[in-house]
Amino acid sequence: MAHQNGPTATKVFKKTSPNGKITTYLGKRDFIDHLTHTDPIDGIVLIDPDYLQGRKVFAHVLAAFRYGREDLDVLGLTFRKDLYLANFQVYPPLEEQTKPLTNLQERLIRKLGSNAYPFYFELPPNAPASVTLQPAPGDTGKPCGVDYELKTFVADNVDEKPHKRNSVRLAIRKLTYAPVEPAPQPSAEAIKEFMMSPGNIKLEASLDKEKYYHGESIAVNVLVDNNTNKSVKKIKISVRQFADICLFSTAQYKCSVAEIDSEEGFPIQPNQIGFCKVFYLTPLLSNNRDKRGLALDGKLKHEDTNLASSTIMTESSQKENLGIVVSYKVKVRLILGFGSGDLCVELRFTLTHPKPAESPPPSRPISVVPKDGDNTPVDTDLIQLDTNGVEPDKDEDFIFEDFARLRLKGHDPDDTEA
Amino acid sequence: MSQLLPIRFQEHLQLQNVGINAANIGFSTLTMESDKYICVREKVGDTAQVIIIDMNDSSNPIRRPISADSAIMNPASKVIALKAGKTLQIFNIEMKSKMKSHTMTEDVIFWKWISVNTVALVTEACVYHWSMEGDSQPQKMFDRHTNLAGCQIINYRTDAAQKWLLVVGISAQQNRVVGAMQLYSVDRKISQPIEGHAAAFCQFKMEGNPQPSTLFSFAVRGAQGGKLHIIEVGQPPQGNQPFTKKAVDVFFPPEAQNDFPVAMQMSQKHGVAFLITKYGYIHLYDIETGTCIYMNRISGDTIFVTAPHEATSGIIGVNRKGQVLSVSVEEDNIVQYVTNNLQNPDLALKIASRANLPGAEDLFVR
Repeated sequence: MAHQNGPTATKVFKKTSPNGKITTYLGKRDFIDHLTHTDPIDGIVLIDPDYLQGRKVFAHVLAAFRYGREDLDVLGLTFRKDLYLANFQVYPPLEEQTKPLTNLQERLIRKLGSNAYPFYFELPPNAPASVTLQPAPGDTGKPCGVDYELKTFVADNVDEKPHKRNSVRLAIRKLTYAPVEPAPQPSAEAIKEFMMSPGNIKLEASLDKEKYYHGESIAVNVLVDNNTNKSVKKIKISVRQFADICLFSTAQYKCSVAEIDSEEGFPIQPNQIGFCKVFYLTPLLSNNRDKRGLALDGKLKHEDTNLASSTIMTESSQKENLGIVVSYKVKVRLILGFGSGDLCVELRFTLTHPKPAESPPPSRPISVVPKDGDNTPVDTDLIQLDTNGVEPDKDEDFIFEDFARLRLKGHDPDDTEA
Repeated sequence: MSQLLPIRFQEHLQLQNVGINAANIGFSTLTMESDKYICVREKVGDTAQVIIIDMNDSSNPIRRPISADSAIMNPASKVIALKAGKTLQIFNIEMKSKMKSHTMTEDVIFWKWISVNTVALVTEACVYHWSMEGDSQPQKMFDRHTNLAGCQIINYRTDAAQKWLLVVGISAQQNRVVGAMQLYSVDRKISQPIEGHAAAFCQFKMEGNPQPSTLFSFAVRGAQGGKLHIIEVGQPPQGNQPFTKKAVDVFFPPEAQNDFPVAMQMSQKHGVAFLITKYGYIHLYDIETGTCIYMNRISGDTIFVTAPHEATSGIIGVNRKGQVLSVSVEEDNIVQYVTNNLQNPDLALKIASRANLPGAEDLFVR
């Protein structure tokens, strides 16, 4: 579908309202929170002005926490909580909302003509990240979790309930990218003593680093000094995801996403000290498809995703606004003999996205040209021939990809997720 | 039997398919000085670009940033004339060099290449010709006549020798578009105001005449209806029989109450005049007799600019949708069409002999 149109072609997502009167264009579906700033949501709405007849066109971005299936909604009680809502009047454009066009917007307007109008949203710091709670295999409908929706619609005023026929809904995602920064290697130790016998067992565990990218394996270094007359039968290491659901009260769900159960080099004999071994685990969604309720990075239909990235908390974060707070820990557990209990340590780490391919250049319009007054000297050339045709040309190629791939397949036309 | 048409209609290009924004396909932003190039100005924000479409390589338009309010390509070569208010500049695109520049004392409100090396400039007060030769400055040709006051200038034409000059303007009056023209004789330094919408000059060689006659043809839709006039301008050349003035009705269908002529080109080769109306009708007239050979609607959208189509001696134009189309005489059919459909064997024979066209063989026998 995305035939290559030369190296300069830009992929643009588009979706048209069912009645064909408004079409929304977006340069991407994933908006990255770089912690310092979040990619702005900049796009274009192509409008049929004859259709509007005095009505306006609005855009809104809504982040909602959906915690119950929509088809259960019988009393008008929706199982959702709106976490963030922003509005933008696209047409007629409002003076106070006017921003310099971004590069993409300028190019799209040039391509689409004078009925194309820009919109621009900047998500606030600490806006929640998109998280999907993995549905059970047979579940239908929209999965639970935090999702973002960009809706453009025709209405007389912004509070009016949009009609399906003249609105466009696009599922977008906000993802977090945590840059690499020096952080101490997580480490922990625990000592276990026994009432009925002398000595102790010391367990020390550390990770090779604090931050892992999705798909990276985690090296867990384990050190055991056994100063007792008991033996350690085996070791269990698991990576566990903790999802704090911050709704009316906070509930925490745990789910193991990677496990090792090893007897290699075991048992650790009585009074054996200096046991040292490195274990590797890779938490991957592909090994956890069956776990209902597992938190994933916001999922767009027909696209795979990964385990949810760790929620980066700052001092100003408010859990209530985040919907779901995700964290990960490695749990190392020594299994002792019968009646002796176990010995555990937990190590917290960050799971996140690798650095995005290209952080979009700061929104800079191409058309920032010094304006000259009326007294243009004769010798200012009226044409710039020496551009090799590059500057304006290189931006001209777009590959339009339909957002609504579902409609092509002819089922589930109401589905808003695609 | 399928119907024989005396004209051939061709679509050359859809400008929107080569990346031209529909909003920029119009009289004030698109120019076509000949069948070689189309020039479009596009503006986004504060940036303006000119897009030059070479009709021989239409899939590779070139774009350049400009700060001009008008751009017209030379009819033959890759030379572009640009204007910003009173400032005029001529560039050679291939050499990437500025050939000429000039600052006027008045704004130029309309301009056109009238030959490969001359640009005509129309201001509120007068008309200038600016030659590309050497360091020449624009030369004033004549003052505008008062009949053009309040008109939007839509065309400027000359005869082959540039001895007869014509400004065409239109204005809206009492719910109709009135055409006003000023015809100027360089030799006699006289202007004549004429009511008319579209006009053309032609060198036409009449049967038996040693020299071609300089003909001026114009079409008008006035309060009394539509008329096409064809007259010889100036003294007939030595040895020539004068051309007898023709005036024929131009038919407008009842549903086209507000239609009027917008463009005319004449084919010297075939001795015909192509007339295009605002509503997209084409009329084909025989120059010598004024006979209407054919009419039909060829475009649902207004054709706002035309030029001669050299390859076929026809007319090429651009409509508001960005369709670049041409109409020419269908050489294989026209003689037969005039014979059978118009039942006019005399005219058929004339047309056949003028351009050596087939279809008249059995007419000699009759």
